[in-house]
Formats: sequence, C-alpha cells, structure tokens
Amino acid sequence: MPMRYFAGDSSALGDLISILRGRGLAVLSYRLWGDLPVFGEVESLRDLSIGYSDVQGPASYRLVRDERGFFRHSYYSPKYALHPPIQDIYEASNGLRAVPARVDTAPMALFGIKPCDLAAIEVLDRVLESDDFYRARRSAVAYIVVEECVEPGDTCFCGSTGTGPAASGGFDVAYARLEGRVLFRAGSERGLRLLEELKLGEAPGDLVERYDEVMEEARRKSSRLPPLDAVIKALEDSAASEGFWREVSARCVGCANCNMVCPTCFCTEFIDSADLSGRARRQRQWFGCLSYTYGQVAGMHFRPELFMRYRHFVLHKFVFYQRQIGLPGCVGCGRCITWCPMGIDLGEVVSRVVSHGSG
Amino acid sequence: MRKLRVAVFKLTSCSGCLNEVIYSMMVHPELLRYVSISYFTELQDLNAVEEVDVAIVEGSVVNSEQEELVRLVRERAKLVAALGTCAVFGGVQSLRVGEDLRTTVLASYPNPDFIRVSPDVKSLDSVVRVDYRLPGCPVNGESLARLLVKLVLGGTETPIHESLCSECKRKGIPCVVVLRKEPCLGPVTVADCGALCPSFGRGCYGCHGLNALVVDKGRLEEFSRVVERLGMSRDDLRALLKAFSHASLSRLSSAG
Repeated sequence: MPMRYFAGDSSALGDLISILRGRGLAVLSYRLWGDLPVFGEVESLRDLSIGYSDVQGPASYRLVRDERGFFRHSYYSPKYALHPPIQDIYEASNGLRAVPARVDTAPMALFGIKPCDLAAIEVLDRVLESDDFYRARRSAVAYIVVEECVEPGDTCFCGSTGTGPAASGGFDVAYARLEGRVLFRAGSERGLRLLEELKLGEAPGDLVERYDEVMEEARRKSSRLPPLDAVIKALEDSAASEGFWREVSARCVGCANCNMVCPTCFCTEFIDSADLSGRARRQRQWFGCLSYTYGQVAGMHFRPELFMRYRHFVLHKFVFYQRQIGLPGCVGCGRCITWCPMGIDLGEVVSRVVSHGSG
Repeated sequence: MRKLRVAVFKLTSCSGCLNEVIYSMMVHPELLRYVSISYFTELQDLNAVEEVDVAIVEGSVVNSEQEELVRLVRERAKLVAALGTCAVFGGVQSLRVGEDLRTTVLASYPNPDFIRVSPDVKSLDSVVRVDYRLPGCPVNGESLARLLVKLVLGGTETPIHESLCSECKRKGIPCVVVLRKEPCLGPVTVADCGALCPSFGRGCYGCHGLNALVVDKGRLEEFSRVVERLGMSRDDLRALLKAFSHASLSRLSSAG
C-alpha cells in the first residue's frame, strides 16, 4: 500500500492535541516553561515551542525567538517520563514485607518528540523489556506523535546513526512542518484513524516532493560521522589502546552530564532509606557510568580510572548495545555534546577513533 | 532498642554545621528518643568525653590540643563522622595556609595572645581514621539525619560518589553553565547538597568539595580554562578550591 500523506496547517496540530486530550490522555511534549525548554504536559498549540529555535553547540544552548525556527530538543527527553530520574521501587513496613511501589500509569500521549527520541524509546523498550516499572510507564503511552526533523541542529548526527531525521517506525503519527504547511502520515492503524478524525485533505504532490527534498538535505546535514560499521569496527579494535583512551578522555571531568541527558542511558543506583517508625523505602535513581561509584563493588572497582569509564561509555553506546539488543545505543541526538560543560564532542571522538584505527 | 550513644565535638569552624545538627533533630524529633548525647557543648552544660557509638566531629584541626582531643575521641568512639567541609577538607580557614601566620592573626584579632594555631589547617582524616564524611558548608542536615537513622537501626550508609551535575539533571534544574553561560563548579564538585545553588539559578561554588576521586591536576586545569572563559578569574577559582577543598587539593594526583 503506498504511503498516504495528508496536509494541513499548524491549527491541525492544535486539533490533534485536542483529540488526544479528549480521549483522557495527558499530552506530553517539549514546551517552554518561562524561558526554559522542558518536557511536560501541553494543553493547546500555544504550549508547543513553535516559534523558537534551539541553537546548540558544544557546551552551549540558546533559545532564539524565530517565527520560521525549528525546535529540536533540550536536556529533557521522553526518558524523564518513561524511566523517571527518581522512582519508588519497594516499600516495606514492620514485618519486613517488601511491597512493590505503585507506578503512575495515567494514560499519556507523547507529542512532537523527535525521530531520535523515538529511536531511543525503542532502545529502552528492548533494554528494559523485563523491567516492571518501565513497562508500566511505557504501557501508559497510548499514542506517539513524532515531529520529523526538517532542520537538524549543529550537534545532531542522526543521519549517521540511521535514527533520523525521518521517523521509520514505532509511531502512530508523524508530521513535518514545511514552510507554513504540515505534512502528516500515519505509522499505525490507530494513527490513521486519528488523521481521519482531523479531516485533512490528501497532500498535493509538490508538497510531498518538497518533503522528500527537505528530508534528504536534512539527512545529508546530520551525517557527519564515518559509516557506522567502520565506527563499530574501529571501537572494537581500539579497546586495548590505553594510551589512546587516556588522551581522548583527558578533558573529561567525569561529571556524568552525558549520561543524564542521554535518552538511552538507563542505569540506576538503588537508594535505601528508613525511618524510625519501621517504614523503609527503596528508590532507584539515574546513575551515570562516568561517576566514580559506577563499577565499584565490594572489595574492588571494575573501572577505577576515569579513562576506563569514558571508554566504557563510548564502547557501550556503539558496540555493546549492538550485541545486547541488536541496535546501537547512540541515536545521534547530540545531547551529550551540548550539555557537556567541557564541550567534548562525541562525534569528534568517534571520528578520531576511526582515524586512529586506520592510521 | 538500645539508644545510640552520640557525642558532638567542635574544633575550628564557624559552628554553622552544629546548627545543622540541631535543625536536623528539630526536623526529626523522633531521633531524640533513640540517641543519648554525652557531649555537645552547644546544646548542654554537662559534657564528658565518654565511650560512644558515634562521635560527630565538626571543624578542622589547627593545633596540637585539638589533635590530642580527636585522638582521644577516636579511641573512645566506635565510629567517627567528619561533619561539614571544615572537618572533611579544612574549610574556609584554609585560606590562611601559606600566608604569614602572624600577619593573618593580627589582621583578625586585636589581642592575639590567646590564639594558638599551627601554620597548616588539617582535615580530620589527616589526624585520625574517619568512617563517614559529610561535607558541605554548611552540611546538609538531612544527610546527617539519614546517617543517624541508619545507625540507630543497626545499618550503615554507603556513599555514592558523583558530581553535582547528576543531581541537577535528575531534578531537571536548568544548567547554569550551558544555558546561562555562568561559571559553576558543579561538574567537579561532589553531590548531595540537593543542588541548592543551581536550583536558585546561581553557580555552585564547590562547598561540598572537589570530586578528587575523579579530577586530577590535568583535568582541573582543563576545567579552570572553562570557568575562566565563563568569567571566573584564576584567583577566584583558586580561592574557592582552597577554601572548600584544601585537603584534597594537596593530594591531587597528576594523572588519573
């Protein structure tokens, strides 16, 4: 069946939000809170960060008012909603019977997330497949509406990782904003029904053609890494080059910002607390592999030096995830570059690994 | 349940962390039913250096009398907790280290005859073995309450060593460096203060101490360049690190 494209203007996005809200869903999207780009509930088109551009660079993020601008993402990602930063796991009271904590499963829709975010959710789905708490939150997602990236940012490289700039699957509706018009397509039967409810017309041929051109250009712009196969091979070969990894990580201060903002970093540490009335609680919280305690076990440390933890971070993203779940763990969103206070560019590091291997 | 025997000692400090001890017990009054305090000069008149389960020591060690006291405390305590940045790293008074002692003393005290201090400012663990370190200027009273509750229950606290940035990101606090282009010591500072300063939009000034298990001299130099570009002078950074991380600065390795 050929892909059916529908066309509308921005108001169709507002209508879509209304339809989803009408179904009792909390619609979560990138939105501005004051002048801050956050991820949270939106009620109408006005709440979306349309009319702003996020100008990103190494250790730099600026929001710019721009009517024709394109907003990508921020330090937030859907991970905040699906795999929350701090989550109750068990509660126990006198008698020491541990009861799993309740998970908020109010139904939601993810709206206007980017193709890299979508790819990251697929990674989390596979990694946390048997995690009851993730599954409960994930099952509460009734619809996923993706905004395709017509204009990749300066830190983006989703073209290289094959995770963007267009959405390839696992969504209900995808849309692209093109010069005042919005092009919609369905990724599922339910998505198609949503679009039918919007009562949009079929997209004219020239708009679809324009879409193809824009996405091709976006793919070109976001493909600054060497080919993924070469990256994986070079990383595997580099693992034992201690000197190389010491040098590559020399500017890293182990702050773990990259881990925190990475939409696929899923590691957590357990925090146990108790009070004197006999109640105890176990929580888990995001924990970065760049942090010292990561890799520390009773009596020893697997990665006591920072270069080992940095190497682990990079190898895990490109090599180990691939072996574990059949997908790379890096979705090319570039958050780790933007939010690294030292401005370390993962894309550059990976390119250096490749040239090191061939040199 | 047998009461946890606690003693609280003060060395050289502003006593702000002692206030945090009192605040934490006001916030968690139930603690008072499970602890007995044998020494706490800010709280009670009758004090004796007895055998205790846990000695909480606030302040840095600046003379031989204090060294003797903490050795005695260590002998009589099953566990010793260093409370606050002065006890853990030396604290603000470390700023005088390397300066002429007499000039410094005269600048502060009209009648310096009673001031007996040595040239160095020592952290507690450079004199005796320390079991728990609770940095902060002042210490986060919740961290202390958490530790005491666990000790009362017969458990212990396992420290998690990470930078302040992890705490900021988990709380969704906008990054002072990347969004506001302001200097912030968060990336090289140990977490657990609750990200107090960044949550009010200002940069961390490092009062929980340098993340010295991760940051070596080379990395600190790289970081210095970053905060310098953001507008913090080398002298200011040096002063902050000396004030809040004195003990770990002198132990920084040149590679790691």
